Amino acid sequence: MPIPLGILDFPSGGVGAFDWLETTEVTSPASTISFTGLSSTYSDYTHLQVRAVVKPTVARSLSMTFNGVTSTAYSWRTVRGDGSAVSAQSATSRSNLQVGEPVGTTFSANLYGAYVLDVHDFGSSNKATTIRGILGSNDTPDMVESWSGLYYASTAAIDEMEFYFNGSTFTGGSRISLYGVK
Amino acid sequence: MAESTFELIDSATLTSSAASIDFTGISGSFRDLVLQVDHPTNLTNSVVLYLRFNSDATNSYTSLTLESSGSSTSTQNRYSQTHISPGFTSGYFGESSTFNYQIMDYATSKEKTVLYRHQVALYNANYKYTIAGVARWANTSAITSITITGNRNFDAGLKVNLYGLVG
Repeated sequence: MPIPLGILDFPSGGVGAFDWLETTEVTSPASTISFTGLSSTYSDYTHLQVRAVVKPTVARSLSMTFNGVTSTAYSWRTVRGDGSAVSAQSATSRSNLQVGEPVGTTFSANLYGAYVLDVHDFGSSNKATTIRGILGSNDTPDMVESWSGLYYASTAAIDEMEFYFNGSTFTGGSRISLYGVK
Repeated sequence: MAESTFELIDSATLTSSAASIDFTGISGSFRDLVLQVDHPTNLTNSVVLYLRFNSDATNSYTSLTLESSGSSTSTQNRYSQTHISPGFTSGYFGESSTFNYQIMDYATSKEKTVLYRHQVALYNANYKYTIAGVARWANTSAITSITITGNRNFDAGLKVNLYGLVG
């Protein structure tokens, strides 16, 4: 049995409480990838895990919104390593969450950025929603980040998640998978 | 509908010193692989752990790390390596270390990206750090084997589990 790393961090075997829910993989450029009906369809689960292997057509940060809200209701913090310097970045009162910048198509054609993000207690109706995770890619920009974010527009349960690139699109082969944690 | 998601593919626990641990014949029926390496607390030697796919010993691996020792931070990028190298195992009584690799889209024609974390628990201050990392294998072949080696032999007790993640 592996030692659990963090709260959800990476799934541990043998627990029997970690289930694949759905995957969206695009075969041609797509502007958004969305998951809807979450709080009703997946009410058996407490947490969600997002596992993504994505690439934009033009290098941009991956953006994320909840419940269709694009008001100033998001903040995030991150610590990043790029091989030469460690940096800390933050943003508050933003209209979306920006979750790192995976490699763009001007670099290696077959290389994608990778993400593992945990959305905590997504069905709760009495708290803001916390997200955290790890992400990285090994081409310009080289980056690995330990990232956390907050959605605080309301305490409503999360029913929808949308992913997109501002000013860019997902290239074919990009995929985002959703898992439930009981 | 939710399906059974997390499957133990194979595991190994060394009963004597060994130079490597190999997982071969990995099927392409999963979306991601998860490799967990647990280093026991009573070993004699620390080892720099290496990871290699499909026995590919060419300079096609890159490892980028973000490290914290508790008092300072650092980042390193290792280009054109012959393996992924995330850091040391511990080698002192009372310390333990874990490696957790997320090998994403391992059976696709993409280059392979690996997210990983590595921790060494503090006991007597020999090695103590936490690492987040990303590694690249610049190869579009499906991963069918994983070889774990080090800069010296592993002591008995090292435990490695390989899981498949449906998706």
